[in-house]
Amino acid sequence: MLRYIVRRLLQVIPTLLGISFISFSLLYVFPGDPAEFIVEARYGVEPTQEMVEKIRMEMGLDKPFAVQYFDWLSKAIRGDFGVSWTEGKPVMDVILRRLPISAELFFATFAISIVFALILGIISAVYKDKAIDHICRIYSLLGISIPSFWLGLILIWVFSVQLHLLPAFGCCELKHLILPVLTWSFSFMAIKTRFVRASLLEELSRDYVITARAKGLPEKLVVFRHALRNALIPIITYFSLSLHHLIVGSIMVEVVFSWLGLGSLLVESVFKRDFPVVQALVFLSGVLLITVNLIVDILYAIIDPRVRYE
Amino acid sequence: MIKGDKMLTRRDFIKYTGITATTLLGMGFLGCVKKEETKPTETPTATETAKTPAKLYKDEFILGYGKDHKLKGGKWGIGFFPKVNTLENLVEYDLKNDEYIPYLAKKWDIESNGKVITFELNKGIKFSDGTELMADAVKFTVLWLANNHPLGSETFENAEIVDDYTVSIKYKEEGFFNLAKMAEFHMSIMSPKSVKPEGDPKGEFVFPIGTGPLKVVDYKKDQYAVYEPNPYWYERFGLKPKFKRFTVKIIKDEDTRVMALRGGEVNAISDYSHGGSDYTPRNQLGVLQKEGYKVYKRIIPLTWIIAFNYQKEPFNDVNLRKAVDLAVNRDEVVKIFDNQVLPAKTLFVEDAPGIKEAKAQGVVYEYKPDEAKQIVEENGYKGLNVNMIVDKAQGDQILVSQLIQQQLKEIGINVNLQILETGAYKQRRDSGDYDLRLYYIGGTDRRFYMRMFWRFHPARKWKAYVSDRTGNLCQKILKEFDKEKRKQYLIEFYKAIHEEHGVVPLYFDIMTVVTAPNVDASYDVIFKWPNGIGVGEPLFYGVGVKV
Amino acid sequence: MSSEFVFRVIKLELPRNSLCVVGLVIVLFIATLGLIAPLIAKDPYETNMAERLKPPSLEHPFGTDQLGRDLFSRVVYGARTSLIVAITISALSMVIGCLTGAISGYFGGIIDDIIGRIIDVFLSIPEIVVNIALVGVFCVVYGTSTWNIILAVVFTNWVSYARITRGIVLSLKEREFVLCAKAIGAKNSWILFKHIIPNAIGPIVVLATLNVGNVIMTVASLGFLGLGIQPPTPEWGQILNSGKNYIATAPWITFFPGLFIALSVFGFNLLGEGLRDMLKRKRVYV
Repeated sequence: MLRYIVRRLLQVIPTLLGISFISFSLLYVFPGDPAEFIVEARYGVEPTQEMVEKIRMEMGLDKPFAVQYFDWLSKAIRGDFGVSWTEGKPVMDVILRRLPISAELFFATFAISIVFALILGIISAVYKDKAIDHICRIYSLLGISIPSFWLGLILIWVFSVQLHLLPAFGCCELKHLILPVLTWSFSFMAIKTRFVRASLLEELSRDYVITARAKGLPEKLVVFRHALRNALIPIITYFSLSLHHLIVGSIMVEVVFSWLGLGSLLVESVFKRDFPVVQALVFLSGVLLITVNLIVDILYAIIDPRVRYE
Repeated sequence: MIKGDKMLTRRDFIKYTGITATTLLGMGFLGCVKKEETKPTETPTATETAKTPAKLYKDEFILGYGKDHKLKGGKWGIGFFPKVNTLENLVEYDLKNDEYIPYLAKKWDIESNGKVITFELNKGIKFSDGTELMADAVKFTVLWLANNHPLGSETFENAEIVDDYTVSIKYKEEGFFNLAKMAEFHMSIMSPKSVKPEGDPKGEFVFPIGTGPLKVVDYKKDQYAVYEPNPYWYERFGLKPKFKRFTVKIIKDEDTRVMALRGGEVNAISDYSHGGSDYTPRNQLGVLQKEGYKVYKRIIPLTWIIAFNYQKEPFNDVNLRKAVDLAVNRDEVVKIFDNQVLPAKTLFVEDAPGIKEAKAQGVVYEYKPDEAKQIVEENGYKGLNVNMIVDKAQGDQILVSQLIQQQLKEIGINVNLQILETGAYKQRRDSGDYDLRLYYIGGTDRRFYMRMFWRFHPARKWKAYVSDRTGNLCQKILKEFDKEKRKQYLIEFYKAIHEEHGVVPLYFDIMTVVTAPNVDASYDVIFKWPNGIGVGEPLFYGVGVKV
Repeated sequence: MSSEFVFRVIKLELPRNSLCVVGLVIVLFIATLGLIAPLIAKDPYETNMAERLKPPSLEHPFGTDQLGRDLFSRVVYGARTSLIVAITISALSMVIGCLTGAISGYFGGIIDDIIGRIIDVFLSIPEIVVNIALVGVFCVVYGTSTWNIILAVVFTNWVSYARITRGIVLSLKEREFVLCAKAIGAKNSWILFKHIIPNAIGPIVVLATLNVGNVIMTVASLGFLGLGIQPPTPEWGQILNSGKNYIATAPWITFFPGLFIALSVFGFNLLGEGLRDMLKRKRVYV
C-alpha cells in the first residue's frame, strides 16, 4: 500500500515542477522590464531609473532566470508567493481573503448540482432511449453549449431588471446566491448528468445485474440497491475531481455577478498586471487538480487492491 | 457472494464518508463566509451633539464611490474625497469671476510678485479634535507637503509664523500660480496632530485631522471609509448634520455601483471627486432619473480632447491636425452619453476665464467635414493610417474612440484603434508610441490653473500640447496676478491653441451624484459650501436619508 | 461502392444519426451566414448616432447598438470572425498536437516519457486560467491582436490532440500490418503517414469537431472578459460584454450574440457527438 502511495507521489512531482515552471515563466513571456511594471503598478507613476533599480534589487530581479525560478519555487512550496504588486500585501493573504467567497458559491453550486445530476442521471439511465432520456441528453449538451456569462445576464434581466425579484449583484446572503448558483449549476450539472448516466448504464450492463434480474428482484431494488451503489464509487470520485472548478468555473459567474472571489481575482490581477497573484493562482489551480487526483487515486487503491499493482 | 458483500460494505463506508465530508465541508465554508462578510465595524458614535430633532433622518448615510480613500496617505497624500470633505483650503476658487476667495484665510498679502504670500487666518475655526486652527498648523502643513508631497516639494520653500493667526509662506518661484495652488486639493490644511510625532514635518502620517465637515472614524483599504460629522464645522456654519455616521463603500466597477444604488445597498453614488474617471456611466443617468432617482449634475471645466503626438509625423503638420479638428462631429459624440454632457465648441466651458471673450473673437470649434476632406486630399493624406491608443478602463472612451474612428474614416484617414489595458496605455503614451489618444484638460474648478500647468507648460511631461507660442503664453498666464492682463493672455492662449489646432476638444464633462428617492439633498447642498461658494467636487455635509 | 448501396446506408443511418444531422445543419447555417455576410448584412462598422439603441425592427432585425451600428450585421460578421479564428486555432493545435502525439506514441522510449510528462503538465493546469493569464500578459506588451489570442489558445489546446493521437498510435503500433511493414523494411515516416495516421483520422475528426466548439466558447469567453478581439472588430463575446451596461435599456445587445455563441457551440457539439456515435457503430458494422 505504502509503496503505491510513494510511487504515485513520485510520479506527481515532475508534473508539479512543470506546472510551477509554466506559472513562473508567465512573467517572462514578454520583453520589457518586470521592475518597471512593478514600479508603475505600485506607485502609478512613470518609473525613474533609481526606482527601477531599487525595486529590481528588492525583488531579486537582477539574478539569473534559473536562480529566480528556484527562489520562487522554494517559497511557493511553503505558500509564500511574494507580495502583491498592487496591494502590497502577501499574495497568500489576498487569496485567502477571497477564498471563502468562491467557496460559498462553489459548494452551493456543487451541492445543488450533485442532487440534480444524480436525479436526472438516474432517470435518464433507467428510462434509456425514452423521451425523457433524450431530453436529458439534449440538456447535457445544451448545458455545455450555453455560455454561462450569457445565461447569467439573461437571468439578471428576467429576475432583476424585469421582475425586481432578486438582486443582480453582491454576495453573500441567500438572495444573492440564487442567480449565480442557478447559472453555474446549469452547466456544471450538465456534465455531471452525462457521467452519472454513463456510469449507471455501465453498471446496469454487468453480469450481476442480469443475475439479479433473473433472480426475480424488482427493478427498483436492482437499480438502487445494487447498480447504483456500485456506480456511486466512480461517480463520487468524478464529482470530487471537479474541485478545481473552484477557480476555473467560478471565473465567469463571479465576473457577471460581481462576487469578489478567486475567479474574479484572476481576471482583476491580469488587468492590473499583478503578476505574483496571477502566478500563484495558475500554480494553485494546477496543484489543486493534481492533489485531488492523487487523493482520489489513493482512495481508489484502498477500495480496489487491483489498482495497486498497475 | 460473501466476498462481494464485504466489498460492498467497504464501498458503502467510503460512499457515506464522502457524502458526509462534502456536506460538512460545504456547511463549514458557508458558516465561515457568514463571518467573513465584510461590514464596517460598529463604532460608537462620539458626537452626541448632533441631535437630530425627532428622528427625521436615519443615523447612517451610505455612499457608493469608485476609488479608495487612501486614508493612510500615499505618494500624493490621502484621496481626493477626504481632501475635500475632511480638510479645507486657505482659499477657494471662483471660476466665473476668476477670483480667489477667502476661506480659511481672511486675507492675504502678496510680496515680490508672489514669491512670498502672507495669509491671515480667520479666528475661531476648530479642527475636528477641538483644537483651534492657528498659524502653526499652516506652517506644519506647508513643511509636511514640502517634505513628502510631489507638488509640495516643487512649490514650497519655507513657512514662517508671523503671529498666532498669520503665516508667511515662501515659495520656490514667484508668480500668480502660487496663489492658485493654494486652492488645490493637495494644499488643504491638516492639523499637526495628523502625524506622529505631533507636528513633525518628517513624521509618520496617522489619520487626517482637518477643519472640514467630516472626520475620519474608520478605514479599510479598497473596502470602506467611515466618517462622522465634525461638530465644530457644523457649529461654525450654524448647521446640524442629518446623519450620525457617513459610510463610503468602495465599489470599483461602475455598473456594480449603479446596481448597489438600485438594490438599496447604498443611499447615493458619486463620481470620483477628481473627475475624469470612476464616474457613474452617463448613459444610466437618464434611466435612473426616469425611475425616480435624483440626479445632481454640475458641469466642470474639464474638457475631453483628442491629443496628438504632435512632435512627430504625421501630426506635426498643422494642416492634418486642422483636418481632424474639422472632421469631428461633437454633437454626435455627446449622444454616446445620452446628451448628458455638452459638446465642446470652445476649449473650456463658457464660464472659464477668457472663453466668452475668445468666442466673441471667433475662437470656436466647428464641424466642417467637407473642408476637412479637402485638406486631406490637397495635402496628400488620403488613405493615411494612424494609431489611436485608448485606455481600456474607460468604457465610455472606448465608444468615443470608435465613433471618432468612423468620423475620420469619412474624411479619408484610417484610424487603427488600440485598446490597451491601463499599464500598457501609459507605457505607449510615455514612450510616444502613438499618433492619437483621448485625453482631458482642466479638471474641477480649483484645478483650472493647476491643469493648465500640467497640460500646457513646456516643463511638464504629460503635456497635451506645447509650442513656443502656447508654452510662452502659458507661462505668462501662470505668472500674472492682474486679472485683466491674465485674461488677455488667456484669450491669446485660446487663440493660439485654436490656430495651431493643438488639441481637439470633444465635450465638457460633468460631476454627478445620484441619490435614492428618500434622500434629502439639493444641488446647492451638494455643490456649494454653506456660504454660497460653489465647488466642482460633490460635498456631503448636508445630505440625509429620510426615515 | 454503388450508388444504391450509398443510398441505403444513408437511409439507414439518417434516423439513427439525427444528432449528427441536426448538428451539421446548424454548423452549415452558421458557416453560411459567415460566408455570405457581405450579401445579407450592412457595414458592421458604420455608426449612426441617430439610430442608437433601437429595438429590433424590420430595418434592424436585431436592433442597434450604442453607436447605432446594426446588430444583425455585427453578429453575422462576428460569425465570420469566430469561425475563422476557431478553425485556425483548431487546425494549428491539430498539426502540433497530432505530430507530437504520433511521434511520442510511435517512437516510445524516452521521447515518449518526456512528451508524456509535458502533456500531463498541460492537462493539469486548467486551460482557461492559463489562457486568461497568457492573453492578459501578451496584451500588456504586444497589444491585443488576433494572432496573440490565437497563439495563446493554441498554447493549451494542442494537448488534447496529442493525447488522443498518442493513444491511438500506441494501440496501432502493435498491429500486424505495422509489424509487417517494419519487417519489409519500410521507413518509419512512411509507416506513420500511410498506415497509422489514416486509421487515426476517425477519432481525431470527432475531437476536432468538438474542439472547434470548445474554442469558440473560449474565444467568446475571453472576449467577454475584455481580453479577446477588440472593438470595433465584431466578436460575439465582446459585443455581449459591451451590452452588459445596457441590459435594462437594450437587452438585445446581450441577447443575440449570446444566442449565436450557444447555437454554434451546440451545433458543433451535436455534430461531434453524432460523429462519435457513428464511429462507434461503424466498428461494429465493419
